[in-house]
Amino acid sequence: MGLARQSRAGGAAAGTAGALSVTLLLGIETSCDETSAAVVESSGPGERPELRSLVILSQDVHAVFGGVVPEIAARAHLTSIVPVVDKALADAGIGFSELSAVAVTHAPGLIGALLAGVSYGKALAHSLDIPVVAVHHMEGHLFAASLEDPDAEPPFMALLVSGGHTMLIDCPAWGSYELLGATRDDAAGEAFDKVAKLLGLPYPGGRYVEELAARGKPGRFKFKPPMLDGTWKANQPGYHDVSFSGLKTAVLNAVRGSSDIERDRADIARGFQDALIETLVEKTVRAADERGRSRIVLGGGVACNRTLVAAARKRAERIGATVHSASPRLSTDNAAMIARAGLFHFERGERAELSLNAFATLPIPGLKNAAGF
Amino acid sequence: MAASSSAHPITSFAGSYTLALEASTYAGSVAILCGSDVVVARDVEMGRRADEKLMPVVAECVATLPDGMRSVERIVCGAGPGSFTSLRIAASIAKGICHARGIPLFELSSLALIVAASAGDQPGRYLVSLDAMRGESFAAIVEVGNDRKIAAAVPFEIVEASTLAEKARGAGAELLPGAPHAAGVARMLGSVLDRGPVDLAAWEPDYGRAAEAQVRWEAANGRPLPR
Repeated sequence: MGLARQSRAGGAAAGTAGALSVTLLLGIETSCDETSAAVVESSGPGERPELRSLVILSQDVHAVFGGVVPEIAARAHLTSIVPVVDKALADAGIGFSELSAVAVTHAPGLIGALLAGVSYGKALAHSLDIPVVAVHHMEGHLFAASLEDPDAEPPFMALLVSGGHTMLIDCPAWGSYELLGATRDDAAGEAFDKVAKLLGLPYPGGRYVEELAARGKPGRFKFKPPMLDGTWKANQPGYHDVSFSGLKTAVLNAVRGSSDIERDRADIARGFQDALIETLVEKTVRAADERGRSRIVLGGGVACNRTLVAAARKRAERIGATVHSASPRLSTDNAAMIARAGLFHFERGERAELSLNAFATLPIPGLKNAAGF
Repeated sequence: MAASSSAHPITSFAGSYTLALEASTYAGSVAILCGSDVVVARDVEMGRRADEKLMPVVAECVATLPDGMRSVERIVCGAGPGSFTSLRIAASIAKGICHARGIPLFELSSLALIVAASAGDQPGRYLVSLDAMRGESFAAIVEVGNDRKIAAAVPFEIVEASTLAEKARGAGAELLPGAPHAAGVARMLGSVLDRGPVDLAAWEPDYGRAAEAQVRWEAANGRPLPR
């Protein structure tokens, strides 16, 4: 069945010529508004994979709508996927015949967008007589930093922050995850986009808010960091959760109450970003400390925010932890992280069936405490 | 199911295998043709469910060929109009196979496939339709000439579903009920191949409608959506 979709084909990496052969895996990502393909190479389980190529085609058309239009995104994936895959293979210097497997994002995301990649990927793999591996998009984000940073390996505490998700995940080992907290309303990236709109900034708003905030005076507009007050006790349900709807409303009130918004915009952006980052960083470092993790991995598009990364590094020093974040091209949605996560599952012998389907929501495989996420 | 067509002489495609896909409605279909003879035909439920059904059926059909997928020399895909998601699943599968194998992709109107699947070899003028949702239909007049040929591309319009019978009378056409089926490609293979393959990278089905957000944006801004 497509939902259960991944079966073990024995321990060996079936599809490769032998134990010492090189595995070349094509990753495909179409969960939202980026059509992406990448090739990773592995000399075997336990060996450090190499990213051979990465192509990301962003759909700029959504900017005029102030958000992603699912049907337009899905149509664009269909007309982009062939040239994107061609370029990924060309950049890697390989042809279809050298591929060992295809890994494709099948959840979570926009159904129509996901289905374009899943359907194409299944057909491609079947026609090449190689396996297809299903990858959860958020698990891909967990793997992203490890492609560039050999220390971004488990055990670690992960903060995944994007336009659709805000999740705090403990990762004792690849494939073993525990969800400690998540947003109760808006994702962090969604909050950035909404505040950007309130401040008259383009979509997607994260980069613009950060740039504007850099020019703002700290403390002139002081917003309360959400869910950090003393009423939240450790071990209490929801202790690790976050919520940004109240902060967004506070920004809305500040904008409406401003007598000179041009004068105040940068200061409001600074106040918003400071509050949001304080909550994310404090929650993440607390969780790392609680679980005894000395590594913190940041993933997702909001991890492109350099102020967030710097704040996390500074705060993590107090518990002796290091912070690992991917470069911007691997923090935003991309197929390299899908290929890397797919390689992990491929080397465990996991294979998807041809009935593999796409799902708007689905827990990360191996995730504990996933109810509602 | 076995069927054959004498509408087109077997020429360059004689003895070669064609994979035909049609998914303009929630009732999709797959057929394998040898020349212009249908050797395998299957129906596929396309509605939302836990499993995606079309690719497994494609694999089952292709597995009956002497050399499996390597036997397939071309794909013909129903190009809509119709269900956005179903059309896109079939198109994505067609692109994946054609890309991997380096074989050409051809398209044909899903409305013409209704005639091919339903009207037999009877020459005539038919009005066929597909559900366009919201009480509307994609409607087209399709001619079957005395030579039994059916055009692979037909213009269509969006009309109130309740006016189909009236429109058929007005056009002097027979209102032809029925659904498109991939096996109907057999009757049209010559005209499909005559039109040549599509550009694999750029091709997409004719969905029949723009995305609703695009329609609203273009109405509000008085110009096409910038790409």
